[in-house]
Amino acid sequence: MTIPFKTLSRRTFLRGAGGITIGLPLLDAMIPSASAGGTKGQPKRFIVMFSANGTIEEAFRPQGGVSDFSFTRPDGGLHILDPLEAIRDDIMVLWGLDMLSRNGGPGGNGHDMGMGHMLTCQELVVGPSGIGEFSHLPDGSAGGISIDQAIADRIGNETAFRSVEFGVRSLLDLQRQVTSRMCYRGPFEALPPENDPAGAFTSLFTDLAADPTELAELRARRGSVLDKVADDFNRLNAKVGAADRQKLEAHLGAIRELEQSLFADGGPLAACAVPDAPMGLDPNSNDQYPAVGRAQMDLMTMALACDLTRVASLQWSTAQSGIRFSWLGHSDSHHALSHEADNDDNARAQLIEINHWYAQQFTYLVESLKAVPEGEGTMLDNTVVLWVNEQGNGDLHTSTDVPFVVAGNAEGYFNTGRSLVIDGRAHNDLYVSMLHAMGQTDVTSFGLSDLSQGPLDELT
Amino acid sequence: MRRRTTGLCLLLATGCYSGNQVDAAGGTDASGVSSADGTVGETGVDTEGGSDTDGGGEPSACGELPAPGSAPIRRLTPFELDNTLADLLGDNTSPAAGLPEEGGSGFDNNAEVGAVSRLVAQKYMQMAEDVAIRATTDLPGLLGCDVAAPDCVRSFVSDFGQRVWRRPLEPGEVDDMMVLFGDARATFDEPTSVGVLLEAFLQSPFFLYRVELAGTDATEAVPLDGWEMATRLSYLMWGSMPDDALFAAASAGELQTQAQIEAQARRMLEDPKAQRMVLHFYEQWLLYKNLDVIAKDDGVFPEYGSDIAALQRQEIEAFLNHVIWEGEGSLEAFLTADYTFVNDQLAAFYGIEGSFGSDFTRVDRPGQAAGVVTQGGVMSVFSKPNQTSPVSRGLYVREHLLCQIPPPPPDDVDLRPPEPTEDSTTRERYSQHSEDPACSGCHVLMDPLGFGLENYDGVGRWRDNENDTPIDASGVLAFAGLEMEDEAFDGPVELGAKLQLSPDMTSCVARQWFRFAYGRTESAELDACTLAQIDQSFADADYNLRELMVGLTQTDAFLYRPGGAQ
Repeated sequence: MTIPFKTLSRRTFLRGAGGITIGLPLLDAMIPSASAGGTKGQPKRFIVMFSANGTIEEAFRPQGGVSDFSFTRPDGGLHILDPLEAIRDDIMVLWGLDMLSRNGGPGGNGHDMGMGHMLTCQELVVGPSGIGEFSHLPDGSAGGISIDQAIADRIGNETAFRSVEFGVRSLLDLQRQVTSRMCYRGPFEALPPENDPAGAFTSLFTDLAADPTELAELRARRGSVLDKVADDFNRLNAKVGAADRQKLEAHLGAIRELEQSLFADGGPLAACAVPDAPMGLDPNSNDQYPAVGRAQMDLMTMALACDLTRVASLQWSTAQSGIRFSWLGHSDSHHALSHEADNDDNARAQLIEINHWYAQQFTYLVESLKAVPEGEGTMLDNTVVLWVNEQGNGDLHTSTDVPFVVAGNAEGYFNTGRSLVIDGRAHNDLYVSMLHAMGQTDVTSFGLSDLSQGPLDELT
Repeated sequence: MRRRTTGLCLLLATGCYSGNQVDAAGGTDASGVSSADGTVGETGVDTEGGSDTDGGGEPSACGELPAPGSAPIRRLTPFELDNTLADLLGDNTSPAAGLPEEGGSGFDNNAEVGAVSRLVAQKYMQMAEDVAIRATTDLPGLLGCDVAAPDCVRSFVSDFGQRVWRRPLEPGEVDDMMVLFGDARATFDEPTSVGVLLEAFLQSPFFLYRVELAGTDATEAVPLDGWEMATRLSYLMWGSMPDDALFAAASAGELQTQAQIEAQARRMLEDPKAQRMVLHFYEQWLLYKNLDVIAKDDGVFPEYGSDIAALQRQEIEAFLNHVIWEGEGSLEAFLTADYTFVNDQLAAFYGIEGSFGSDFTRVDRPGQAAGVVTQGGVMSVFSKPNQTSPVSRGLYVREHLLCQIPPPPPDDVDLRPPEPTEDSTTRERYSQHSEDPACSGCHVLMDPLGFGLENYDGVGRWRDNENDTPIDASGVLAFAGLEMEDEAFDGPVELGAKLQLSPDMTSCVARQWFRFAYGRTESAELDACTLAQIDQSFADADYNLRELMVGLTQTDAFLYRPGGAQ
């Protein structure tokens, strides 16, 4: 068993403990010697960000043409995407894609349907009880793997974490789990997001901030414990039936990932710096929603910069989000406003403000990635950030004209700085394009295969 | 008392708003209602005496062979991990607190959803490491012997192993653990090396999962072995690992007959550990756990903060503890008791006069209280931040208490609650709100029930008037059972009394317990026998909530595993 980390002196490294940001020169010494020479290419990365309850077409769609678009409205009102002006060259605004898979399968509520289809592009599945087939599905699930996980299958295997799921008040509704979860390894295998920045910090950065000698010992010890645990799984798996084995195999797979990550061939990039531990945040608080979200985005950015993971998701609240944007002066919940926006100017203005706020968060995330130098450019150059929603129009729960924004070009794969209208295509094909952007160019379909026509040529 | 249950089929046939997705097949369980056909035989399970399987008396839904339904492997929940680690090692630090929320069908222990991701595997690892550090600070205390003494560690592995994996270790398993310990000792000191053992025990599937292997090579349903039965009993009754008495019974082969299992269940119900488990069921079923996260509009309810919410949680827990453990334990008291529990601070908030001290004390509220139906915490949870919500409250009664899932609201409707005004009542505003025929078809299921609770304001305080207008709390309980007429009522007390008569209500209690007890949702077809057994024993016990828990241990689903590997 080898420990691929150089030994640092305890004294040197203690400077990095205790929540103090560790500077770049210190961290260089932690880069495994095998990859320290920078011989490998820059890794590609994929991020998906979710916000709920649909959009408002004329406040979302840019004015003007493909390249000379502007985030303005004829009536001079607030444009949802106005914050994206700062990163306009890095993005593509997509209009016209449909969640066609929602035309079939179980489920009866536009939010459940939208959330379960959003990243999987296939029909939901009813739970063993058969309950709620035409309503919500208390023991049902999305029908298959989500795009982030499909991408992680390709690019997530070299890092400590295959993927990291961040949430901001993504509370689980036990009666309607499909509204609460978006990332799936497969049917009935939702990946729960981490809602607590303190928990995320501990999971991601404790080891990087640890004393290297102790860490080496700890890792050796973990390696032998996990070996033993894996043996137990293998002994048990030989005795159980298929359904149980599937769950146990997934667990064993997670342990294998954990084990491999102890000796991962990755290593922190030059810009890696252990962030301060988030303090004093209440992840259950409605009013701390912005602060918790900011902390999660900072942790995500640094997890990517430290190459702890290459696939991440950020789920703001849940489908049918009931967050009250008290910091914008709102008293009605997001969901309630979304159902009155078409009839009430005040509600409409507030719903636009909410989506505008999310555009600010998206911009913050993209600019954070852009602030991380990498190679000749920035980390954003090797990254795709996708902003998704479970609805088109939130009042009508539509599955057509669902808004998408893409940022980053994945090493030149996407032709950014454009506003595109793509009619008559299923959102499956957006994800086919994502897989191609991540290097998996032999893929022809994602989700329900008869809805796919191949990658969206307009994007490249 | 013989009652038949019905599903929403009747109700859907009447046209809960046309044009929306309702069950095109004409209404079956697929429409979202969880009820068996409710047919039970003439003879029932003898819950008093504990009949054995050969004693006859099975409901007619049961065939000659046991029909346990499915038995998916169950992973310990954070709640169960905390309890187990407390009982196993005296670790009362809630070591599982950082694990993510999981579950489905209303409960955190649903075995049919969820997967362990790498992040969760890491959290299990961190938990095991933290627990190991705390447990090894007093090594002699943990081991019960001098670590350097011959066979000390080996006997610890064997004895502790049986408790942590809830079954005797095979000799080879002890050997493997000793190899791990020996390897660790080559590098680490003794406490750390014992810690390595604990980490391996606690991350093993034999700890994290409730492993049941009985019947994996059989073609027909088989009884569980004693260790598996001990584990089923302890997690059902206590949400934790078996105690010494259960292990002893397992070891002695005394968990085989229904009578033996029933006797253990009754013993376990007497233990205080049963209380926390029962509350864990009710906090999820009645959703009062949401008191931990709700927030009210400071401008409307400035007196209501997280401190009051926490007191309301204590109130309902005191009430449930009283009804279930000290009182008669009846469903009737659960739904109709005319008292609640307050301390000085909560009484002052409610405007209840008297001196109660800092502990929760019973206070009679005749004409106002109706058991859990009117609990202040439940009223607060099912309200808007700035006013009540007849819709949320009615939907709560419909979904949680009657186990009926109405279709979702149609698209394109205004779901925004009508803004409170000074010259209207909530009832007036909501009535107008639901006048639209597209809404009223289904809202007849909810709003009349919610209107019946209008005497409780948005934070659970009694009120006679709203904006100087007397509260109109009249309503109709409709579609609450096939053989139940529509029942008019006036006010929350009458609503509670009518609910108590509803066959769907009694059936729903049993089904919620089924889901929680067995970690899965009932299948009307495969679980017909078990459902009939539960319904029968619940009825025979005159709807006693304690007896219902005993009855859950006397079913095919609990006593057997299906043949073949799951």
